[in-house]
Amino acid sequence: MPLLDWARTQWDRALGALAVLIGAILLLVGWMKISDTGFVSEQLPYLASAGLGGVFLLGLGGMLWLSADLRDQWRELRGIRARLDATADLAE
Amino acid sequence: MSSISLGEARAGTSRTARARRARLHDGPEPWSRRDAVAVAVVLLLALIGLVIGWLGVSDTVDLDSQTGWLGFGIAAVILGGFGMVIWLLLGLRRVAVLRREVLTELDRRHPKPVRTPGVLTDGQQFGTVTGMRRYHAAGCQLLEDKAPSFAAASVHAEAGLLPCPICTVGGAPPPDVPPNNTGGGRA
Repeated sequence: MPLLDWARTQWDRALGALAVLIGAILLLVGWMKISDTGFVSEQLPYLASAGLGGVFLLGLGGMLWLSADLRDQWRELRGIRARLDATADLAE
Repeated sequence: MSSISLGEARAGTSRTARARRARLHDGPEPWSRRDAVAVAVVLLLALIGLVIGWLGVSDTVDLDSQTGWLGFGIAAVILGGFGMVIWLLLGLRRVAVLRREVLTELDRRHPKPVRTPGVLTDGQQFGTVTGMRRYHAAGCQLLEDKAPSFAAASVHAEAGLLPCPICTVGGAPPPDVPPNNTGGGRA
């Protein structure tokens, strides 16, 4: 399956996308639950769990996605440097 | 410098670059294992703080107590954000260092070509038009559709004209002069 293959090779992006998705769902569920009640003492647990948890997961997802981009850049630069080293070795 | 000594110099530079690289981080990823463990511990602490905050808020109906635990949860999220930012900054920094290293090596091996000034000889004829402050090579676009009078560079110089920086009569144009800048509207 293409999606599974993508998730296997791009595990960091897959995890990032999953974290963002779960975070968004948590925020949505938290908002709905908080809207259901008018008591602040009943609303605060949802804010502490779904609200803060959703924000945390959104941040984590963004971090994982950006990390994947940095990994790609790192690999490409290392590849260029390895080729430069190889040509230097030939020159020696 | 002979070709042998040039080769030795290159080999020496290459060895120096490798020695410098050995001191820098040089793993398969921008982050070392120690970075990953440190950030994972911070994120785990943040997660535990979030759960504790949530349990604390859920455990009581007293608003003061609940806001205190909510503050605890917010502090945990801030701690987690701090860990994420540190992780990304470390990665960005390492990638920037590696990029600089690769670009420096590329610059060393393939230096930018230096444009050498054209050699003026008395045999060469340069054109100018009445009202121009500069003299130009015969093929210069600034002479197109005009009726220039041609003379040697020394004649133009004696008449107080300057060489055209566009057609590089007097050498390479200065880097701050754009190609279509004719110097105050008149060439």
